[in-house]
Amino acid sequence: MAGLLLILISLSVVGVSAFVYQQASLTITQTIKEVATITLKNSDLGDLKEGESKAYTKAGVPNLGDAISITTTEANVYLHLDSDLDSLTTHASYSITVKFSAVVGTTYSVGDTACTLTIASPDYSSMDLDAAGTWKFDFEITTTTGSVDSDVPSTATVIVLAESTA
Amino acid sequence: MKIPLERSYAILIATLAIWVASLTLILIPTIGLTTPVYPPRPSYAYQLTLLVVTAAIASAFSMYLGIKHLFPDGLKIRERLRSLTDKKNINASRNSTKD
Repeated sequence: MAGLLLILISLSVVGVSAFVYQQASLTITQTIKEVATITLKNSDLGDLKEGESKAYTKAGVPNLGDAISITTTEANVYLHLDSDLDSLTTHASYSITVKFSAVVGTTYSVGDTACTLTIASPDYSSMDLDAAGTWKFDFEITTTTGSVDSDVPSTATVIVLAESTA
Repeated sequence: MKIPLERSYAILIATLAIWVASLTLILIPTIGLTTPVYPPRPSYAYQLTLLVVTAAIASAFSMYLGIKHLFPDGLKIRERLRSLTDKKNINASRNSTKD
């Protein structure tokens, strides 16, 4: 029994290492890499009535504070944001304002707007993180629901990609 | 080269500990425990090398100990081959006697 267990451990170690090595090697060789996927559900934000407009900030929804956090090891890393806001057909409007909450260097200040994602313009390419260090971003959401026949759950997903010029 | 069983276990446990440590270091940014780093630091490549080396050592010793447990007297491949050859020779000589 112990012998079989040891052989099983041996095979598991090899299998796990090979998988992790392959995935990690991809990360090293990629010039563009997904660093975060952020999912915003209306169940997390609270219910909205038909036609109601509401704004959410980190003061009311703590998870919106430092929603994106990335450490760059070299200057001029470009962040791309890809969202599926265009699929939110039950909303009359939905916008996510991305603001700097921690910056490096002097180009940007905390509180500056980095970009705004809307239903008409769900993707943003790109913001230039021009100095190496830790950058953080807050989300602020403003939304107005449209006309619906029944309760509609909605989910917005934002994918954050990093790209270096090296 | 024969390695005492106690030493084999010690090597296995030590390398497994380093393997788990390097695996954790590689995986923690992926599972969101630390801030993602982009592009990866050069130390990331060293962690990967450590993972592969410790995996090779731990896997080899684990396999060695597993086989040692399953076959305490050794695999005796030479003896088995010899007995097989002997059986074949005996059968061949029997057949030639019949003829």
